[in-house]
Amino acid sequence: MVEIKKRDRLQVIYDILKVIQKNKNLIKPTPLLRFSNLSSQRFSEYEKDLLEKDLIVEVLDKKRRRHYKITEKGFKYLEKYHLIRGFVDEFDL
Amino acid sequence: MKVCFLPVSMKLMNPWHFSLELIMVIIVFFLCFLIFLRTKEIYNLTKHKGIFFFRYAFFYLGFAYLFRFIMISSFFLIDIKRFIHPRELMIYGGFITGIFSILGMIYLIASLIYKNYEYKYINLGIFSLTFIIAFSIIIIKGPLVIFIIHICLFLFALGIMLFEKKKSFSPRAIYILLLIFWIINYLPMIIGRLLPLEFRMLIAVISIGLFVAVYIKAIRWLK
Repeated sequence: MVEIKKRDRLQVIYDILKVIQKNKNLIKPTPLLRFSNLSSQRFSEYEKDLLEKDLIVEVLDKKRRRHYKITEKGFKYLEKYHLIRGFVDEFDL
Repeated sequence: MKVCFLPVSMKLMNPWHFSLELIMVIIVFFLCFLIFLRTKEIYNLTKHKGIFFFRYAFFYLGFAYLFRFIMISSFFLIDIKRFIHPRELMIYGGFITGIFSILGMIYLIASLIYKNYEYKYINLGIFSLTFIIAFSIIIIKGPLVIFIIHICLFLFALGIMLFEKKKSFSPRAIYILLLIFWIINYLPMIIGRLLPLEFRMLIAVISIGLFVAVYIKAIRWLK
């Protein structure tokens, strides 16, 4: 039987950022919710968290529709994720 | 004219003992400071609670070793009785060292158990506990209370580390040894005399080795 491991916070944030990055760093909230595999309530929590942590930024297009973009800090997170993961696992944090 | 860099009133601690204490505090404080500084970036990126507790555990332990050195030097290196009553120094110095080491121990424990509790309750718990401990030290006015608190925290940490289901044994084993060797290092402040040099040397080498082990484990991921 395949064991399904629950994603932790670090992993979920990484997955959300990765989805935005794959969409040429510009995505609307609805497809982001769909691709992130989260419930809408949990997605809202992460959305708020990512904005507060300055990992993503909200931008409006010409038709004033909301989009998300990864910030410089967000790209740094993606770049360093595997090291952060290793550190957290190394010390059981 | 011959210049002597060591204080003329050095009666109680021989130069070898002093050098050993000095080398140990420099290395340990430097390593703790490096761990704290080099984890800043990953903490700022993630705001991970575990990384927060881990960083501050080593920050406080570094200061505990520094104040321990200051205390031991003032007790055993200079004729402190001329400036302050030794009991007063023991109370205030022991208080500062004790607070730093207790905070270090609590944060180390918190880094292991924070996932099981709400973050706000952990923070509230840490500050309430530190507040109670600080008052007990002032009211009871003795190093023994600090020692008893250290032993209680150590036993609590031991229980958590042995019974918590975690993936890896190695960091917990290092933490246990770090706490044991801190308590042994703290002993001269309880018993009021220095440990024999040969024994002291062994303890210092192992203590330094443990901090080096943590630093090497951490630095692999902090490029």
